[in-house]
Amino acid sequence: MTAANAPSEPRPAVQLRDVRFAYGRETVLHGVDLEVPRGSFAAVIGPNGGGKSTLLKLVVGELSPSSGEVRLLGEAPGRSCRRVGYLPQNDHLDPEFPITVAEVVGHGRLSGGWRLGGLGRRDREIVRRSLEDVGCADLADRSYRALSGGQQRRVLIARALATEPEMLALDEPAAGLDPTSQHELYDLLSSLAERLTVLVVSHHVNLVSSHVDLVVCVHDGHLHLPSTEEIAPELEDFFPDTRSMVLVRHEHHDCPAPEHRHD
Amino acid sequence: MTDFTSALGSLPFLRHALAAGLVTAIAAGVVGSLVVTRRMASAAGGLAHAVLGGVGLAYWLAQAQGVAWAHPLHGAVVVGVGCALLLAWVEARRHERADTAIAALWAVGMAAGVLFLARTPGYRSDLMGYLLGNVLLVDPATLRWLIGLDAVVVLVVWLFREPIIATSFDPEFARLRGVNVDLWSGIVLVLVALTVVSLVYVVGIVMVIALLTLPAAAAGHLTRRVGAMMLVAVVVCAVASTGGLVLSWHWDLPTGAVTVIVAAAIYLLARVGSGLWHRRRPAGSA
Repeated sequence: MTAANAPSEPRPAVQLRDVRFAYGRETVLHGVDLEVPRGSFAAVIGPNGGGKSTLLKLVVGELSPSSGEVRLLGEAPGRSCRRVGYLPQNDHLDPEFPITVAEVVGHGRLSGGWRLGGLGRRDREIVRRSLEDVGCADLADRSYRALSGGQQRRVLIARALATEPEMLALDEPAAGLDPTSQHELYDLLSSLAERLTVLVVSHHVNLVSSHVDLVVCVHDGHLHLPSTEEIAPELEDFFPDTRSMVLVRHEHHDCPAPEHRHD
Repeated sequence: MTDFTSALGSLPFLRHALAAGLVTAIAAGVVGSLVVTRRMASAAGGLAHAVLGGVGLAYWLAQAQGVAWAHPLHGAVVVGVGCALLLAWVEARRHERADTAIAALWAVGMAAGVLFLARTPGYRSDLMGYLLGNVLLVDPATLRWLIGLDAVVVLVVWLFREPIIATSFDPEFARLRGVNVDLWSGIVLVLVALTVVSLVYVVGIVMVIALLTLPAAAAGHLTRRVGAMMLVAVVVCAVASTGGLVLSWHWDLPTGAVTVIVAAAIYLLARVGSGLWHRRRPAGSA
C-alpha cells in the first residue's frame, strides 16, 4: 500500500518501492511500498521483531535493501542521510560513558572530514540552540550519565537537531520511559513536527496515535497502513490486548489530521 | 625515601627509570581512557602479548642473523602496529569474530617470540625484563624513543579528539554522520599498540594491561568528561609508576609488580571514595 502524498510536494520525504530485505536467509521485509509526505509526523508501529527498526535503518541508509528502491528526501539514502537527524535505539550506548550533555550534542556537528581540534563558534551556537529546542539548555554542563532516561532522550534528540536536519528519524524514542515522560517526549516531537518531517518507530500504539498524523504498521515483514476501518481487526491480531488500543483512521489522502477510536 | 632521593642524584639509570615512568604515564593515561571507555581491554591485552613476537624477532635478527640495527623496541613497534592493523581489518569485516582474532594474536605472538628466542644463541638476561618489566634497564636511547612514541600518541588524540570520542560514544550515529568509524577504530588500535610498546619497558608484557585500565578506571569514577578522565588518569599513572619505583627501591622488589599494586590500590580508593561521595550527594549532581 502507499500512503497519500501531498500534491504540492513532488518528492516525498521517504519513498520505498517494492523493498525487500533479508538477514542471511531470513527475510525480514517482503516487498514494502511506502511514501511519507514531507512535513508529516509519521509512526511505524508493530510488535517487537516485526521489522520496524529494519525499515527505519533502510530509510536512513544504515542497511541496504536486498531488492527494491529506497529514496530519502528525493535521493539515495547514502547521499541524503546527513540531512536526517537519526536517533538509534538507546540501548547500545554505554550508560557509564563520561561525557557532558554539550559534548553529546556537539557530536551532531561532526562530518566525515579531517577537522582538527574542537567545535567552532558557530557549532557551539547550534549546540546551544538545539538544547534550547528540547528544553535542556540548563543541562549543558551536566554529566550525560547522571540524567534521567527522559532527559537523556531529549539530549539525543538535541544531538539529532544539531545536524540541522530536514527530517528526524527516531527508533523507539520513548522506550523505557515512564508514561508521563513518554507523553512529554511526544509533545516535544509534535512541536518539532511543525517545522520538520518526523518519522518514529514505536510499539506504543496508544502513545503514537494521539500525536502522529500517519501510522504505518509493520508486522511479520509486511506493511499495512491502518487508514481504514477494515484494518482494525488486523491490528487487533497484532496486539491481543486491544481493550485500550487506539487506532488512527485517516479520512483524507493528503496527510490528514488524526481521528481516534477507543475499542 | 631519602635513600631513593640520594640514589637518584648519583645513579643515572635510576633517573632514566623515573623519567621513563613519567613519560609513559602520559600515553598510558590518555590511551588507557580510550581503552576503558571503548571497552577494548582484551584487544589491548592481545596486542601486549603479541609484541613479544616482535621482541623475539629483533633479538633473533640481531644475534643470529647479524642485523646490527635490529633493536627489540623496533621489533615491538613493527609487530604491534601490524597486529593493530590486522585487528582493525578483522573488526571492520563485521562477520568475523574479533574476540577470536584477539585470542589468536595473543597466543601466536607469544609463541613466535618464544620460538625466535629459542633459536637465538646465548642467554639474554633481560628477556624477563620484557615479560615482567624492568624499568631500570631503560637507557637514554630507549628513553628518547619512548618520548617520541608518547608525543605521537598524545598529538594524534589531541588533534582528533572529536571524532575519536564521538566514535567511542556512539559509533552508529557517527557512521551516519559520514565519519569513517572503522578508520578511527584502526587509528585507536595503533595508538594502543604504540602505548603498549612503551609500557612494556615499565611493567612488562604480562602487566601492561593493568596500567592501561586501572588508572583510567580510577579516573572514570572521579570525572565526567573523557578529557578530564585522561588528565586524572595521567596523574594516577605517574603516581603509580613513581610510587612503584620508590617502594620497590626501598624494599628491593620487582618495580613492575609494585607499580601495578600501587595502581590497583589507587583504583580501590577512587572506587570507594566515589561511592561514598555519590551516596552523600543527590542524584544527578555527578
